[in-house]
Amino acid sequence: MAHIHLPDGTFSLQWVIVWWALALALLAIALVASRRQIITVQRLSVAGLLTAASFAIFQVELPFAGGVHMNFTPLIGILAGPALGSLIVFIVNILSATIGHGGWGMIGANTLVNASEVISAYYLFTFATRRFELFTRGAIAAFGGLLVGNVLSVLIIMISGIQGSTLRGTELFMYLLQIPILNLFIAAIEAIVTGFVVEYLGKVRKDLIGG
Amino acid sequence: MKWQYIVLAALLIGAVAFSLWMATHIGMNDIEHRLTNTSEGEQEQGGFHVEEGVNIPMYLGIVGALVAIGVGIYVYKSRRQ
Repeated sequence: MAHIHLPDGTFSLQWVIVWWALALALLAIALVASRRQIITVQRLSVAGLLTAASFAIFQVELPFAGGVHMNFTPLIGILAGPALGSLIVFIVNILSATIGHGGWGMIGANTLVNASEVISAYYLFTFATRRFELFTRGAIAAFGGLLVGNVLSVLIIMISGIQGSTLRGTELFMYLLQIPILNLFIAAIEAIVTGFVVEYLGKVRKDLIGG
Repeated sequence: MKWQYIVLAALLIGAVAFSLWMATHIGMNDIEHRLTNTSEGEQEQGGFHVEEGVNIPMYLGIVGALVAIGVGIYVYKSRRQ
């Protein structure tokens, strides 16, 4: 889902620094917030498993529209919460960059994008859809969270601009707008998968849900 | 069937239909090639038409920033002890 796959050198250096700085500020807030919480061994184990699962699913390219992948970031938000979830997506993006999936310079921007999915999915799940059943809550949180991440990734590329590209302004926006529309297909699949996972966990381990 | 499932199904089916319609017109690779001004052959050869040489200062910047953060944390922690 939402993940900026443009290579290093696409953004100018100043924008790489800006997105990295914002991502580090977000991670600092996440660290402070997580220190105020009680981090049990169980939560740490779940965070580790989510990191591994998310990293694995990142690398599985689905044969749709030239290649897309799922993230499981909304599921991370639902199970680990926004603070731990933001740290998880940062680690997943570093690990992905080490194997050439997303540039090193894009880690900052991608961390912001994925963290926005984690945070929005958590709050959608926790507050906005509390009156629905678990499957619906999980699916809506995942779909909504992924939409937020897609919009943010388009905004980041629009703001940064692309070095050497002839696309500018409205033309660039119209091109970028096609990415979230193509991603809707995978968002729907990820929403259904997340809904089933959350519903199942709600039956067997309700204590794991809600961060 | 509960109304929430019907609404959810309508939302997801609508999203999939819209996405499939878009996929008949363009793919992710086409978008990435157009954004970076490259053809498919050039992309395979790694010949992106973006400003060359920008990676070195960028890598140095990232390493410098991480070192500065590490030093900052070290100084902060050593003062508190």
